Amino acid sequence: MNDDWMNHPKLKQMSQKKLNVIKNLITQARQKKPDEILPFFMAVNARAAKLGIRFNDDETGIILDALKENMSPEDLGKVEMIRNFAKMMGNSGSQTIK
Amino acid sequence: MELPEQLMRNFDYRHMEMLRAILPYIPLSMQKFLKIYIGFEELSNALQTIRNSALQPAVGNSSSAVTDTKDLLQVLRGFCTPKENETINMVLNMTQMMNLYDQYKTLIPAFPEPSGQQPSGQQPSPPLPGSMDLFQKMSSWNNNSEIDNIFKDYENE
Repeated sequence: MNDDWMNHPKLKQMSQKKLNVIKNLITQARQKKPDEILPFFMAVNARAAKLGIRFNDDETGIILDALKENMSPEDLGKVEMIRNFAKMMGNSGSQTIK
Repeated sequence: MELPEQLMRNFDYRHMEMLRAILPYIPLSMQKFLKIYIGFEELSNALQTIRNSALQPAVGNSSSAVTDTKDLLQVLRGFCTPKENETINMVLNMTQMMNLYDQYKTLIPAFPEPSGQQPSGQQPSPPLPGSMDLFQKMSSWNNNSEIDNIFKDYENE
């Protein structure tokens, strides 16, 4: 398993409590079947929201990057598509096509 | 309109309404994902409708219509007001999204339509692959002890 994500600079500013949640999430998700990882991640995300924990885009990116190698190609496609759409929606207000 | 086509449209409409009804009841962070899914499905339905209608003789020769649209819009931009150009930019962005969608389709295997719901001679509308399936799988993790364990330290502190 690649644990490079633990060295990500954004994690250094994170509270230990939140970091533990992310560590636990990644550890458990990696034990799942490839097609279970994305729904599991979404379910954890929903529970986190209930507890007032928000994963921002950077944190979500770190988690998904850590889980990508274990995901099914189908779910990987969904994740990439959602990311691309989210980026396009984020940029659409300021984007100028010349 | 033929009956099977009407049924298909009703099915799509009902599916969309169900997804919309879920929106207020899910966490904000998940609403972003679901809204993108809904928009994506609406776009794919609109594309399918446009593509199907383009094949009808009444529309005329439209074989190059899709590829020419981008060039046409680029030409029009030079004659438009800033506000109209914004609309054209939006359409061009939609075109980019369609290209992304085409890339996405190559990654996702086709989902077969339920038997009896596909009008004869019509291409299957590309459903949003696995949208409901994904939420069903997600729901199966509700109240699961594994998820409790992830937040155990957080809740105990």
